[in-house]
Amino acid sequence: MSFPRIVSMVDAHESGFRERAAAFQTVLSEFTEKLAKAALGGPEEVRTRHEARGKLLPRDRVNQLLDPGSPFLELSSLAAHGMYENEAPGAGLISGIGMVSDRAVMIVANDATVKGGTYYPMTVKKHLRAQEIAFANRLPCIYLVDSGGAFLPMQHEVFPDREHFGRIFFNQARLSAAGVPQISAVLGACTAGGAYVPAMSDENVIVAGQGHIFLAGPPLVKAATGEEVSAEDLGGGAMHSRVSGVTDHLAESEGQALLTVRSIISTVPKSVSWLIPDEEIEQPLYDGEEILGIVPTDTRTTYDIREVIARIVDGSRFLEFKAEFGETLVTGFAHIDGYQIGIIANNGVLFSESAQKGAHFIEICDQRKIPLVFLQNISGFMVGREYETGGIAKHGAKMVNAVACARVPKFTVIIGGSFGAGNYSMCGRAYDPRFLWMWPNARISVMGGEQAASVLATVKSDQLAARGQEWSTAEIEEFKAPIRDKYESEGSAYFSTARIWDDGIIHPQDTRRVLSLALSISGLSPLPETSFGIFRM
Amino acid sequence: MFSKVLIANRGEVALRIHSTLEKLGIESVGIFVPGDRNSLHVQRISHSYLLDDVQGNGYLNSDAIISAALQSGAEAIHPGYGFLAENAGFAQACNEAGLVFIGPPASAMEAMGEKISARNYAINAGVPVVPGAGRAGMGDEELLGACRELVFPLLVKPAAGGGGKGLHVAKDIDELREVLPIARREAQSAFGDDNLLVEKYVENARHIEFQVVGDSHGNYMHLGERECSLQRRHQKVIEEAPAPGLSNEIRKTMSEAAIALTSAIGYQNLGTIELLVDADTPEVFYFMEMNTRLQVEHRVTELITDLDLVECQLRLAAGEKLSDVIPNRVLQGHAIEARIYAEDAYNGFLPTGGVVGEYKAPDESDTVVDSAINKGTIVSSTFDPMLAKIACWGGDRTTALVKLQDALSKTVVLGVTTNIDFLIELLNRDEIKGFQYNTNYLESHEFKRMVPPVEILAAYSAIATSSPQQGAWRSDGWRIHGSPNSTISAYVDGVRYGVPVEIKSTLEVDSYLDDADFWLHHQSFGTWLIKQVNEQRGLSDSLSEGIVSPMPGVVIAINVSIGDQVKTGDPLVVIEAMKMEHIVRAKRPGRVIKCNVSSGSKVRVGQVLVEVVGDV
Repeated sequence: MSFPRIVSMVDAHESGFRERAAAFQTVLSEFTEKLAKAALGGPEEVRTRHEARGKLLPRDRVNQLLDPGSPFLELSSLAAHGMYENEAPGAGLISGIGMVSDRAVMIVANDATVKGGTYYPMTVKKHLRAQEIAFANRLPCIYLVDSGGAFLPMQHEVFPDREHFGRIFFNQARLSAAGVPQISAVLGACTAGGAYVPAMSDENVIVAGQGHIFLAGPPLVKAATGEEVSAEDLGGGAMHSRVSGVTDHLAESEGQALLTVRSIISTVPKSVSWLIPDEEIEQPLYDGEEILGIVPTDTRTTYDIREVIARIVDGSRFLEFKAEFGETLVTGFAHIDGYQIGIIANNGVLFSESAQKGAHFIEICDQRKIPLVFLQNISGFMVGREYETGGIAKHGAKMVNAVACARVPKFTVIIGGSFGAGNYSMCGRAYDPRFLWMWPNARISVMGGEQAASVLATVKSDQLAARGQEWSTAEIEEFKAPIRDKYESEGSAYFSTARIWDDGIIHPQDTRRVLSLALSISGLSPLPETSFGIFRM
Repeated sequence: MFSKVLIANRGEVALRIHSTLEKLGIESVGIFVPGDRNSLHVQRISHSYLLDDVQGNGYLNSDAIISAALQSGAEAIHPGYGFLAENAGFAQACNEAGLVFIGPPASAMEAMGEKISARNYAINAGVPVVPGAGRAGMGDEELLGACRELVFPLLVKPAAGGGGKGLHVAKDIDELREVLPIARREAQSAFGDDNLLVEKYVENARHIEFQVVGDSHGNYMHLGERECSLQRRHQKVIEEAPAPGLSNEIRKTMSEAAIALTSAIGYQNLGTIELLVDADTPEVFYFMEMNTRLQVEHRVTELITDLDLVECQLRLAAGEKLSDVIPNRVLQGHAIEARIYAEDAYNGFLPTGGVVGEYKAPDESDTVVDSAINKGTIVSSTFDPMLAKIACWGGDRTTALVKLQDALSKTVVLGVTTNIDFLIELLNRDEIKGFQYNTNYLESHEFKRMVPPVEILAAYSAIATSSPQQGAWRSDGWRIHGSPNSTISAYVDGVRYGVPVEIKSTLEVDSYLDDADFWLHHQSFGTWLIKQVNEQRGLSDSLSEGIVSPMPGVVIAINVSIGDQVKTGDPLVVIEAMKMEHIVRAKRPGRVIKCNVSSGSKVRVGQVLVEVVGDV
């Protein structure tokens, strides 16, 4: 049964289209440049030294571990961007999903060229997020370990709290208990806390003469007890494989270690997804590249979201639900690479009707076990007396409730603005979507910069007025400017992605592929049963 | 003529002899050691005897072989080449057991088999010999003393040797002192006799040999010469007949000397007189040695004479007259043979090994292929590294050369590194075409493997990524836009080539996949071993270096112990493989921190033998 096609009204030759495309291209170039820079890892001299030792760079390790030609869905490539004096590209960690021995796995690889692979706060967060994704999608985890442990100067932000370093090992234990394999390859240092990554793994491999595992390295041992011991004798592969039993496989080289990991993964039973794609896969009728000319980089300008949907889904086919009701929210069924999905996309401010429609559609998809894709571009719920008296808060709450309780896999792409309660009802980070991505043009904050500045200015102005003081227009502007600037920088996609509020920034054209990859693994974990029927809102 | 003959050999030579026996309607009896149970010669020869494998020397167990022959009812034994082919004691034992030894009489073997005695026979027959020293029972010191009068460099040979095994060149007296004990050990282990002969080493030398033949009635003949100068480690690689660039006059002088020696010792059956010829002045030649057996390279002589030399051997051994066996000798055209070895020609010709995953022989006119490998054959260090040989005939040298290159390019051996591509490249060199080389040519030139052609890398990429073609996980190497492009790693000799995933090829190649090793062959691009990951070991963090074995073999000596300080070039471990000793040396100064092997350990290629921490 095929759905009706969306008929695009876009004219790629029209000047507005070309201007928007050019503006988006500028945004994209900046993004591409940042990605390429972060992908290099640590400083050049450190990388050169790393390679001179015959060690592979982490990206090469990942590439060689993967099945040849396997896609790799990398996560949070720009983590820690602009943080820590820009000394931790990618937060010193590569994480992502790829195929190893024909099984989708989560790979977490330390980058020893970034401060010896030590863990900054964002490194910890990125590692934990990878484990969280692995848990939700039942992906075997492969840790390519080459790390000196916690980044000591920031120990207070890395060590003690619930979601800090210790959580990595807690997760390893819980993942393993849940039957999600934990495999590690020791390709370099595994010091202190790092030692527990291989130690907590189900099965591991170490490279002779190169991998070392110890709770304290030779300098610390010397300082503590005066004992002088070489790294090899203290925690080398031969010792751990022959004497301590901390490691299971001793590899002669990194290459061999990676091959061993592939062999290990080949022994893991293949998971079966309850999501089965249609065999017929139709490419979208319209070119994904055209999204750039459709979507304005300024989030305040409106456009028809169906034009974007037409460039993401199979055959540009979309079966719309409640097309005539609550029109600022577009809901309907479509396919991506054969996987059936329910799409919920903003097409303006949320009204009570739109929220009711959203809640209804979410319930339907959940009932039918159809994963949900949220295309988020929302300035918020409509404000004003008419709407408050109409109970917009309770209607919004229905949608938020439905989003929070839906069992089906949810995927959120922030393609424009993400402001206020709109973020909640459209499955923001707090609502546990399996993945959340941003387009580089996207903006996220509790409200717009101008609105925030105005609200704060009004509050201040009221306080001053109470004390009988006046505030000149120039003074108001002087007060508002830094607030606007702060919101401007903190609302950017880069600020968000650096702090891992999302799983990465993606090129709009990649949206289809990214969703397809995510969908393919989302059915690997079983769904709990529902206990209510569908409420007509 | 005999009705049943035992073939006291294995592999391709056993099959070669078997084919003539079959042609003549003579029943073959084979022998094999336990490790050869599945070998091709055992499969093809309908009746074979299992010999006890005492320290890998089953094929040298003459008593067992003779009793197998007697038990089978064979009347004669053909020894092939190698093993017992030049063992006079074995020939004698055959005769005593009432069996015909297909070859010369034991006395002739004894006369020529031992190099010191052969030299004296040559001197007596008026054939010039290389200046040298060495007598039976001479110790190292005495030999060193005798060598002081000779002009270095010198060549050290086992007195009882043959087949190029156990030869060493010494540049000066110090080096001679170093190699003598090694040469003795090798001589003892390979030939059961540790007497050595030291001779002047002719540097710009050619190796020319004459095929001689005699009957039991006092008649002698030669079947032309063969040029075998292309050698590495004193083992022949390319052989051809006739020898190019030789005037008929010199050829005549040489052949007369060969016949003179053959008749002087009353030689019977097939034999080869090897001459060392000064390439600058071919009229100066020396007798080197006589091989009292069929040679590996007999095919080139067969191709230019249109004779079956094994048939000649059988008929002569049965007492027929030379004039009946070879009524008229015609030498026609040109023949060239190449030996396919399991070795890495681009890495010092070191022996390789492994399991043959795919084998295809060329099927061309005027081309003879001898081999005993097929899919599944295990190539180990136990026996000779020769896997096959291909000989081609042409009206002239150029035609034969082109034919041989073509035949080699159509030969597919996957799973084991061979010298096939090297041979093709070699035959294409101007020096070879223009005949500008000597016996040092192969070892004094550097041969480097080309970088893999893009066609091969693309074919590899297509094979390595043949997984899903559609859907989320289609093998297109997709990455987040803007992050580095995905490439497929292809490691060739430890060098990484990144092949863009989108490059796909429709080139039809022969391929064999062994774990993450891809073997590819295409007639135009040769054979390539492409590894998905680099299994070569990098330098470790502590700057210690694992000294690895360059080939599979057995450790026969360890010269260092833990804690020893070593200099660059110091001998660390001695490995024996293919009956040759290889000294593994320190690559840089340092201290030995680990010794992973002991004397007698079997080692793999790339296995870490000793670990040395550098002086930093």
